[in-house]
Amino acid sequence: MLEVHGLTKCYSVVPAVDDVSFTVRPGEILGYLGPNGSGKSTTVKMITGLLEPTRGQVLYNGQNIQADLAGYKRRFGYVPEEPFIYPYLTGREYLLLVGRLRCLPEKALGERIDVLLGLLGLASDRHSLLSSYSKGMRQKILIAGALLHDPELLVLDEPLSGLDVTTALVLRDLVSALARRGKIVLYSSHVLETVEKICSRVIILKRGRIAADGDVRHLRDLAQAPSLEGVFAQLVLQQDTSRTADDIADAIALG
Amino acid sequence: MPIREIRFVRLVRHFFAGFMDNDLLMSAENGMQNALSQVLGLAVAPGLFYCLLITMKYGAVRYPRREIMAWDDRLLFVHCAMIVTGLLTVVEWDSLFPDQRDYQILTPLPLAMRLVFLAKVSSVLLLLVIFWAAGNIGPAILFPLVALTGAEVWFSILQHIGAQLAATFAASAFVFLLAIGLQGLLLNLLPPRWFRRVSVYAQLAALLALVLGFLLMPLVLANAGMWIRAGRPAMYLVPSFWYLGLYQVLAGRATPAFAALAALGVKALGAAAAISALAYFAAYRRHARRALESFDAGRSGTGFLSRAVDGVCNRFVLRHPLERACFHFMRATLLRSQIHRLLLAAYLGVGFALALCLVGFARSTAGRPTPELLSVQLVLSFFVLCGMRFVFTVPAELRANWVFQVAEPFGKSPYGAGVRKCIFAFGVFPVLAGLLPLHAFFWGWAVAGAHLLYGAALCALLVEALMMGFEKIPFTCTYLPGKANVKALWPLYLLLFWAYAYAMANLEAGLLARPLRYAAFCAGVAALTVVLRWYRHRQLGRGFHFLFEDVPDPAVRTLDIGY
Repeated sequence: MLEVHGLTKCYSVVPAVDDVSFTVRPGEILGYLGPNGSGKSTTVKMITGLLEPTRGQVLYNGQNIQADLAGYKRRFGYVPEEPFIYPYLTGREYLLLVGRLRCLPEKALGERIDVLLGLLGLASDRHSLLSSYSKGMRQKILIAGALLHDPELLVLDEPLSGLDVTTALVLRDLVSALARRGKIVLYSSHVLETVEKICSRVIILKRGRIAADGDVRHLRDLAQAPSLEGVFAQLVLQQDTSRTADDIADAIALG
Repeated sequence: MPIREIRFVRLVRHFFAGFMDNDLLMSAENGMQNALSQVLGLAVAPGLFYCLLITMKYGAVRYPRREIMAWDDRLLFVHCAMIVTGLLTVVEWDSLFPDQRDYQILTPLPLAMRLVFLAKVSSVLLLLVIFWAAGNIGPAILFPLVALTGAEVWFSILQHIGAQLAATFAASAFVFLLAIGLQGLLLNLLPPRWFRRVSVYAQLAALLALVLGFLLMPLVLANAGMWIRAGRPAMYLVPSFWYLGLYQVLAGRATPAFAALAALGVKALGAAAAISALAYFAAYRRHARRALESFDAGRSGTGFLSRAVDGVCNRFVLRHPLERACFHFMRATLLRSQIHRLLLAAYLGVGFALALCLVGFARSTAGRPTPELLSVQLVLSFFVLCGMRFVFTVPAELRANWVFQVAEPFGKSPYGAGVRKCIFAFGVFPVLAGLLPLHAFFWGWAVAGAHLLYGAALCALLVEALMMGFEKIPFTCTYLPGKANVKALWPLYLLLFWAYAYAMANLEAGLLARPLRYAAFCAGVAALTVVLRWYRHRQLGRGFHFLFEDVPDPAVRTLDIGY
């Protein structure tokens, strides 16, 4: 079980994440939503140990992750928001690097990589340098890298970014399948439709603080909205989106 | 200003800014304008300083001795102009033609291809002119004032200023156009995949040649006067002598030898200009098409031999997954990251230059090894290993290092072993194995074998010493220039170099006749290596965390003696 207690991250004195607490149980998919700059990725980075929180703590199976950070890191897979990867490695070399860093046995690793690359439609590009990959192909490599060691906890930050429709659907079903097998999934995204379909619970973040926490149906009932998009609009959006769109069109015409 | 001219000027400015957007010139902190001013400052200062330095040298000397002395300095200015332009060309190697990003951004815009072409050519020429002007206009004005006697009329001084400007510009342009012509020819003649590979080696070879040219300059200068007076054929092989000839002709101080050299220089410049113009024009369209296509789409994977070697290494040498991760990551970075390759090549160039000097100074001893020849192996290995240690601190794609951070496991020793094995595979082995056949040919296999063993033992010790206190996974940590504090510690480094490369070679020359002592010494070095390795192993033990962000030294360092 992943527990987050009073997690706060301040840059100078400005809090990017402010007193965030939640729990995710095995088999649960937690949707983590919020507009740009609301603190989603900062929370994710603290959960993965990439950033140290200013206050608060992250517990995994009841133990503070800082007490055994290396042991904790072995158990999660992470897809970062930005696809920063080594462009001079080939797709296969990158996955070999990830698998070796996870101490997977060489033979099994090679086989698993070839299977994953085949299933993700990258088999013919496995020996091409990552610099020549499209954004979607890079994203597939990151997803494969996060799954290589069969992690207990999966932290996905905008995993659908750049993916084609087929792969996005595969990933959506895969996340559900992994949850059914008892994995803990933290799913941070802007794609509300997908979150609504796969997540058992949703947290909506606004300016670093939790604005809503509950299962999707409960939130819809509370907000009396037909969809998660309606809930999100009520809680987070402070502008008339159609008015803003008109303003942009006017600005272009003036230009 | 008409819109076409405005677009042209903006494009030239854009392409010129692209030259400064280079890992070797600009860090994230200092920005493009600072990078430009720093590089120009580096180009301006040495020439001016040298002119002031030699004022005393010419003080009491009269013509014609003064004129002969001036040959050396004129040659130095021409030689330096060529080296600086060459270095600039090597650094900007990939920017001489528009890159993929330029094409992706500019192609959708309503810009004529011809306008983009003219802007790129103009920016390339502007780069040449700005760097030539920065390094050469000051010395061209100062030097004739210093070197000519008071009796010389002002016209003669002006003629010398003009001659120096013309000769240094011709020399710079020759090197610059030669590099462009070479790259253009490669682009026209080779298929895209081969071009990428050959271009990398051409760039490295150019850098190696420039470093050698710079470090061997004192040797050339020491012999210049004698070569010119004796009309030695060797001077016709050195391009800087061609443009010294041009200098002398334009300054009205020509001899038949100088006239011949000048003619050679003008012909060479003409040939370089013609080849580069033709090749650049022809290659531009071809390059434009290629840049928009992916270069690597057709890679078919590694060859059978490479896979077999990898398999054997992974099974028998790199036994831990973390060793394999570290080793293969380092190998890929060293072989494929441009900045790391160039930095390492620069170190190798210095080593080569010193090794050539040692071979040149070696006494003839009829097949017996002398200390000078014995030290060649140590000099080369010293620079290669120190170069590797330095490039490890330079990050490659820093933002991608999260993959190491999120997977940082227990037990850091396998990382250390992977680093060590990579250094041996790509630093120690090529040097020792490359020199072994030469040593065997000149000294016989027994001496060559013993020398190899001696070199391997000292290399192993140096590797351990260099890795002591290294708290990073190579290429994954931020880089803070100046943290090594070379300004304060250079005497210590020099002493270490002397002890490793020369004192050890002298000792070896003495030990070669006493096999038992030789073996005992090697065993002693090996024992010391084991001790250092044990210490390093302890360093990387439990509780150790790799550094991914280097922190600057504090402004005030406390003694940490409070309670």
